[in-house]
Order: sequence, then C-alpha cells, then structure tokens
Amino acid sequence: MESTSKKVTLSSSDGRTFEVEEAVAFQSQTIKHLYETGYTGDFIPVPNVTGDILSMVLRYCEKHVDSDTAAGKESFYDNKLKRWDALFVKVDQSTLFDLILAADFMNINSLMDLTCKTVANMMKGKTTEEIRGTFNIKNDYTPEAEEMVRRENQWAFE
Amino acid sequence: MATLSHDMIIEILGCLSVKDLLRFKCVSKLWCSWIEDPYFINLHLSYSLKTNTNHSLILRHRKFQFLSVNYDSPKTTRRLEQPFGEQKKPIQILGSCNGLLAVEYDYNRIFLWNLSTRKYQVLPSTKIDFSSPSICYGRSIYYGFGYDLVSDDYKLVRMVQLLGENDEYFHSEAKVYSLRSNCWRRIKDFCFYLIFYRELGFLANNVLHWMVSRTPESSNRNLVGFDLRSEEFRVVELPDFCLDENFYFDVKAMGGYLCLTATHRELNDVVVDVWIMKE
Repeated sequence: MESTSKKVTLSSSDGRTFEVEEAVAFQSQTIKHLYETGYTGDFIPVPNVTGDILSMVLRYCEKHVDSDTAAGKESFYDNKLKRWDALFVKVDQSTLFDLILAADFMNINSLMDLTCKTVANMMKGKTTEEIRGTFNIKNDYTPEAEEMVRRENQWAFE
Repeated sequence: MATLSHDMIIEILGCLSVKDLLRFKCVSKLWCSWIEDPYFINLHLSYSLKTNTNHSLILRHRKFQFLSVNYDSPKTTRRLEQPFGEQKKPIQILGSCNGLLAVEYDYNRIFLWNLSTRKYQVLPSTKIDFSSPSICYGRSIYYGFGYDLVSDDYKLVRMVQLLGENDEYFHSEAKVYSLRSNCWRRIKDFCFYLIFYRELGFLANNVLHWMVSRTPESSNRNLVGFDLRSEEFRVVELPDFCLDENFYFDVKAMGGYLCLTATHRELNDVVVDVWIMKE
C-alpha cells in the first residue's frame, strides 16, 4: 500500500479513536458514503460500536483491503483469507452478536455474511430450548400450541 | 448480550437447513411466522441455489423407492419415506425443479413432493380427452416440470401421443397443470414425435426442452421448447452440425443452461462432446 495514502480517524462510542488508511475505513459502505457526500470533519463518529469491537472490525477491514487487490484473486490467497476469517470469528457469542450489529451499522457486507453464517453454524442441530437461551426469547406458545407445531414436523426433531 | 434485529435474524436463519428451520418454528410464535413467511422462503431458496447448499441427488431404486444422496456428504445415502407408505407400487419421477419433485405413483396418481419439508400435494386427476381407436399402437405420455418466473408458478405439462395402425394416424393432446390454480388446462397441441421414452423435459431460460422428430421414422432430430410463460410449443434451432449422422445428439440442461451432447465413436472409444448454449 502506498505510504502517501490518506488516513481517517474513527471514534468509537466510548471515545477511543483509531487512525486507519482511507481504503480500510471505506470497506464500510456507511463511511464511504459519508465521505462521498462531502463529509469534512476531523474524525468519524461510530456511535453504536465500542472501541473493543471497532478495533476488531478495523482489523478485519485491513485484512480484507488486501484481498481487493490483484493478489486476492488467486485461490491460494483466497484460502488463506478464509482460514484467517475462520479464526477471526472464533469468539464468544456476545462478541459475535456485537460484530453483527457493527457490520450492520457500518454496512460491511462480507463481515455480515461471515458473522451470520457463523451464528447459523452454531445453531445447527440445537434444540428449541437452547435457541431460546441463545437469542433470549420468551416462549409465548401454550404447551398445547407448541405441541401442535411440533407434531406437524415431528421428523425434524428426530 | 446484544439483541439482534429482525433483519439480522432473517439473515442468519437463511443459512440454516430446512430441518433446523422446521424445528425452530417451535421457538416462538414470532419465529414461526418469520419462517413461514413466503418472502423468507423465497430468500432461503435463492440462497440455497446460489450457494449450492441443501442440495441432494435423488435416485430411483428398484422401481418402488427413492434414495437421496446429499451433495455435501456423498457417502451417505438415505432412503426417502414415501408419502403413501411403503407399498410396492411403481413410482416414477416426472420432473424436478427447485427441490420439488413431480412424481407419478402407481400409474395414475401424480403428486408434487417437497423433499425438504416432506410435504406433498396430490394433483387432481385429468382424463385424456380423445378416444382411442380400436387398434392403436404406442400410446405415449411425456411430462415436463418447471418453475415459471413470470407467473411465479410451478407447472407440469403432459403430452399424450397416440399412433394408429398406420403412421398416418396420429393424435396428440397437451395439458398443463398450474400449482397456483391447482387445475389442468388443455393447451394447443403438440404435433411432433417425441423420441425418447419417458424422457423428461429439460428446463433452461424458462423453457422446457425435448428432442423430437417431425415424422415417426425420421432420424432427423429437432429440438422443441415449451415456454412456461406463454404455454406454447416452438421449434428451437439446432446448430448445423446436428445434421451429421455420425453423431448421436441429445439434449440436457446444466446449471440452468441448455446443453447438447454429441456422442460418437472414435476407434474403440466412445466420445461425448458437450455443447452449452450461453445465449
């Protein structure tokens, strides 16, 4: 990457600041759009994302900026990036949910796909009770109604 | 812990298998309504098609049963439990599209079968609207099944062909079934001879295709397409090389494209060329 490339500063919800290359920040469509529509402030506030999560997101963006260059087209590099991604999302569930919220707010499609797929993989084969726990959902079925829905698709529980 | 929005949960659910989704309908009434939402079902289907997930190969085994081979783990084969129980009645695939199978059961009952949800729907029966002559040879019935993007409908087309004692006598009838209206309608006849017994129509560009000939004894192949939107048959031009009698031509579909296979002998080998139509 050219050393002369422009830098931008992002500021997290808890007031931490991060200086990164413009190309890194522009992985976020939200930030890119902000600049394209003439934003001229000294730093960009990312009000919904904490410093801990923002630093992770920026680490992800840095890694993926390189994948946009020619090297990224090669499958060797692509596989390496996939392995990096897999390690990146080896975090606890609460961090993973925060990453999803950040990816959504900052509008980073590839990170959204990655984190959602990771959550989906965690859900595979889980019972309904476990899922309620994971997503903090209150069961609003009466026992009879739940039994009816269950019976309709009994094979899926076997 | 953070609470995810509806859109985010939909995004996550879109990556799950149908089996998991059916189970998670029991999580809450809200989740059940999300999973049953037609918009979500379409999203899940297009995601599965795009990423080649939830993909199985279905094989018929001993005339009476189907086997399913999962693309992700080809070593595991599962016997499919049939809707009407394990009776020894012949069962035949008439076509498949987007995970839906059109199946004929015991020579007279046709049903559409969603292998992912294991639900099925029996089609109303429909008569053949012309009477057979006293002596008749080779009454053939052909089917094609596909999804019409334009009307967002699944359609099954049935062609019945009757050849009389001499080749002069030819009677044909074409009917189309629409899943949306759940009924059969007669459409303008199809006046070509289908070449292969039990050949299924191949779907590409919203059109089902079959190899045909214009007369029963003709060795010249023609390709006929049935447009699922307009419900009309039309001849599709074949490349000139198809006139070469050294080749044996057949039509197939691959990845949504129509393709032509040309088989010929080269010394002791059988060589198959595959042509894909990208236009």
